[in-house]
Amino acid sequence: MTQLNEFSSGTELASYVTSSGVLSRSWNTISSSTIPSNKGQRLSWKVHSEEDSDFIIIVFEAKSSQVKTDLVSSLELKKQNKLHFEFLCTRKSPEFQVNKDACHLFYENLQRLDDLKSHITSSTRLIVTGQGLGGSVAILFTLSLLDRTLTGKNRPLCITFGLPLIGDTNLQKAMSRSTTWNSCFLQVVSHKDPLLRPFDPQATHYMPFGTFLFCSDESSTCFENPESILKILKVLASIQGNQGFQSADYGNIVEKLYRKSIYKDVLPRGVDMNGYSTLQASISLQLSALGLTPQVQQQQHNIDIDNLVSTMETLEKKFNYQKRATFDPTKKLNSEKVNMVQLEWFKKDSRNKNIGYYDRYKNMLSTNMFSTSELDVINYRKNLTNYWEKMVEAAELKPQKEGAQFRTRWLFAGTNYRRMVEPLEIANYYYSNEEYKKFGKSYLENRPKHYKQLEEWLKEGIGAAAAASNSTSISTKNVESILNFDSCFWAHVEEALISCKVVKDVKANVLKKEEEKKKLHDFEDYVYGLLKNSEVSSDIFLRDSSYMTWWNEYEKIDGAVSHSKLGRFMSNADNYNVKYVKGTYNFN
Amino acid sequence: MAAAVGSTEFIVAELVEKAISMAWKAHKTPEKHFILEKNRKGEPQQVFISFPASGSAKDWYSQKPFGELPIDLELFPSLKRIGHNEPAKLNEAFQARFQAILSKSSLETEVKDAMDKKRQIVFTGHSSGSPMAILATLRTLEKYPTTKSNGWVPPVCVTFGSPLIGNNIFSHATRRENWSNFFIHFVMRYDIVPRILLSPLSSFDQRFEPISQFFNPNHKSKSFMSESVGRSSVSSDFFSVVMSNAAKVTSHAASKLLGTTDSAIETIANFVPLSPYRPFGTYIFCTGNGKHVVVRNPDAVLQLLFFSAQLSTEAEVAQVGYRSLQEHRTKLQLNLGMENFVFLEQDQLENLPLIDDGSKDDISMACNDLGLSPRARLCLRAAAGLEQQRLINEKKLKEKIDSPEVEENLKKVEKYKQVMELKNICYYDAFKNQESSEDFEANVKRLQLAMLWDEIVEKLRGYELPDEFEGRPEWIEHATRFRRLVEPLDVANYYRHERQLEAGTYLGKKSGKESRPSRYRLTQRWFEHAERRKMEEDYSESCFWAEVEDLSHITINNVNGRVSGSFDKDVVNQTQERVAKLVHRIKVWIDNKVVDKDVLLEGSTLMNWWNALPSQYKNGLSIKSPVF
Repeated sequence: MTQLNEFSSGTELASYVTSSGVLSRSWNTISSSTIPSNKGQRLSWKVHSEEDSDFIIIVFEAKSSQVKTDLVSSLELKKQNKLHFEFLCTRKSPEFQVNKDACHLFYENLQRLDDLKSHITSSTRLIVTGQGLGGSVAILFTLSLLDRTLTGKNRPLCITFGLPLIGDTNLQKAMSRSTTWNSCFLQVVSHKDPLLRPFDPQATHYMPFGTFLFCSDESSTCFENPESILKILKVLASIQGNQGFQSADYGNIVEKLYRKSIYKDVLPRGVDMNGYSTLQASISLQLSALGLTPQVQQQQHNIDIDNLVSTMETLEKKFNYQKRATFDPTKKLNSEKVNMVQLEWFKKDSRNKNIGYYDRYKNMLSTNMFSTSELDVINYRKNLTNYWEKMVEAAELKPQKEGAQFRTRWLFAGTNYRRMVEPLEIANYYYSNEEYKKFGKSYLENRPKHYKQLEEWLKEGIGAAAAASNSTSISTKNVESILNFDSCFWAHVEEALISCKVVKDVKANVLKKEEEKKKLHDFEDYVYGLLKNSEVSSDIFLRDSSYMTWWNEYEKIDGAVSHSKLGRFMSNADNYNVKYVKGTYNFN
Repeated sequence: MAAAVGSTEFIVAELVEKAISMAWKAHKTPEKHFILEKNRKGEPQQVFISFPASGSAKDWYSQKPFGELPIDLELFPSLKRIGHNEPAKLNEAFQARFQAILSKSSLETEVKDAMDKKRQIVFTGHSSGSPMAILATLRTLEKYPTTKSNGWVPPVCVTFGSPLIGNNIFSHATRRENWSNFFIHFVMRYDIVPRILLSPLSSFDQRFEPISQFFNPNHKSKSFMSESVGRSSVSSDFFSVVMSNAAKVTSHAASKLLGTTDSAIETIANFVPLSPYRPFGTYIFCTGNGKHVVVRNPDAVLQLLFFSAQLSTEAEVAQVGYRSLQEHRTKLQLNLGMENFVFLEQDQLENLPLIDDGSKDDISMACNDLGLSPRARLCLRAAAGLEQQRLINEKKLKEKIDSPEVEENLKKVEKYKQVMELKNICYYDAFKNQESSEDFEANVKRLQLAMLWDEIVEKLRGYELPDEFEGRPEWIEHATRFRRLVEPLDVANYYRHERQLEAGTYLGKKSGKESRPSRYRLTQRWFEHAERRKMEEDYSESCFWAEVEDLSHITINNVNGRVSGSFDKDVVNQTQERVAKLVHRIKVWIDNKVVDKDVLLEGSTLMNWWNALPSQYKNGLSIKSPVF
């Protein structure tokens, strides 16, 4: 829950991390010489499970301690058929870059790492760790584990020491799409770590992700916002650049921080929080934990602490705002339902007036005559379309597995929406769309994307269950009240009406006429198929409906309809007005 | 005299002093379950009941890692989240000991006697005697709810150096019942005991054996509350271990108070077991220099438990380790007089100075006396900020629910019901048929009202409303009116769309998801709790239609089934029972005027079902349409 006053929680989070013991457990496994190590190509790893714990720790160690900053594109990897990280891409963002060295190490040892992975089941609780380049491989290994459904308990935790360079902004963005993914990475960085060097002074293409625990000799603090982390990395790098980079003894740091957790931080001289907001005060505590105090400012004239506090404040505020502003479909669900009920009523009311809601809407548009309540219908349609466009976009941006769950959840409502609203979209397309008037292309060629995607959701594997229940409930469904299963039904009708015109047009080319006749035959079969499965509402048989108009036209063109199945069905009004409704017509 | 602690009135000194002497006295006879003394001078007259400590620190854990279990709701029916029906968690060892006291001693008779005589009972205890005093108080509050007419005097509980005993729901429920003020916990600044249960049992290895026995009055080594135990060097190690674990729990909680968005905290928590125990009631921290700091916000108390004992330098640890045991064993020296009490209430916490700026006012001095760093003060401010936000959230919802739009929506649905009744149709059936524009209008109103109640339920789920929310009469009243009026429409809508074919029956559970919306499930429980009724397991007056629909489905199928020869006798027996129960309950509801007679109109789903019901199910019962 967000409250009126903003804070930053990094100091408390850091205290939690350092007092929790996960750091010392990881480090002890890294530094242990008794745990046997598996040797691979330029890489080795240990697998360890402590006696009193129910989780496994995997440590990666790289032979080389040199870290190069070169990157490789995921498209390049894809070309080489290295698809382990392909799941991070989405349709919207198909490419990212990742550290070349780390990637090479991962793929050089792929077979044995795959073997290692095969022992990790969904119930394994796992910490993956490493230092420097070993840490980078630990991150890649953990990333490759994320390509499965993660529930609360089985998320791996990846803890790295030293600064592993992993990927670019696109990778960071991909990671931030899933709330669980980012939560698996904790990167421990000493303010004196020589690995900070690439950040001084030039900008790099790297963008951090996950949670960073920055530590000085005395204290530590956490950041989650990638922009804030980048800022801190640059500041620390510039200070160290001036003083010459030293080495970082993480064993010592981890031990010390654990002991320190029950002591107070000494507030450095010169830190004055009077007049600070709670957010500024907590940021200033975070900075002083890293030795970024007015005292340092006196020694290092390129740093302005006040300025840094306000920069960080802006970054944190922006980050928090963005986190809160993410689209939450459940919040708007009920108002979306109200719009649906309004349309349901429009449909019912139309039927009471002996007209289908598609045709009523179509007549409104083509005659440009609306009652006020009818004008409202246009708004309901727009509200619903806005909602579902956003919803589908949100789902498409989600990583694959999460997206699938999301789609299952919204399948029922989404299908209902599509079947109710798309007919109105179709009417709109044919009767008030300038583009159509100019180019005359079929609706089916210009169908809005989100309808297509909603239909795909239904067809997807996850739709199997829903499809099954659909088919069982057909017999009990009342064709008077159902929505047409194929939400594009009316577009097919409109196209058939156009075909009729072409066929009747004396000036039209003979070949063209034959082509249209073929289309009409296909349409006839299509309609018969729908009727046979009771997938179309009996509304279509209302007297002046577009369908009946088509049938009357079609009947005149081709005498052969009397021998067709549909012709036989349509020849007697009793068949469609009574038998179809009761489900007693024999379609075979 | 009001026993409750308030900023204007305060517990009487004699009461606390008597409690102190009783609390320590009880240790001398650890074989007795409790000791009892009467004070005839008090007004009202008081009965003091004090419990001795028991067992070593290790005995406080029934099992690894923290030994908590869901509380026995038979003994403590209020200690739960009402809507979600989630029981509080309680230390299992303490609960077991209390149950033994109840069954083996005369405690219940003594309590009854005192309550009958309109005496005030003061339950008290020191160290592990305190949890017994707390549970005895809660049991008394549950059993003897005070009303204006019965004249019972609510009990008070005064503890000294009490270990924590329950989780956040324990605290939530006591606040909701407005019982927090009946519990006064005195804690010396460095006393180790109130922090012990923040550590897992595994922290107490062999080297801490003497310290563990320090808390055990029955131990043969006579180390109970012995000064010499504290002098051993392990006491500083023990202090460090307990405080490291306290740091873990409090910084985890503080991250949330400060509004962390970082989900790494949850991933790490999968690897680090965290103590579920949380403080509740009113805490009085004794600073060691004569000041007593009163705090009621449970989030703030948790933070204070850690921060007030945080060390400044490494050199302090040996001295504080010793002190952390001494402060537990030494009888409290109370400094009476209002001037020695500093109240950190909502206001003071919200505006706590972030640093020691040399001010000499009470609040600044209290913060200094407790050794609070800027970090600690930020956490306390955040604790208050969260509480303030909850109050703001409630206020906003109150404005919404009192708005003319909401009232109008409810009125319109009520009108709809009346209009239909005039047409001799029950609104349930009218709605299910959805023939007229009135039906459709009602559907829109239903959804608009649902919007607000779904928002309330969502906020409740995330603890974004004050603890008291589910117990406030005005909300229960709003909820009950809404539920009784609108839920029948939800049921009608459900069966109109034949949702039962895919999602199962309205009341049933399919794949763990209940179809009945939580806006009704939760609010029904509020009502039942407020009325001190047993919770309905199956259906209530607002959703019995679902039972009618389900029964009618079963009986129709069974009639058809008989034709095909697969007549199921068990189903018939069960169904007979369900029919009898339903008929009986509808009668009671109609008599009590919580269900209107329109449900009995000829042609309603209920009557249609009843009329078509084969007599074998009716068992001689009858439902008759009313004559209007």
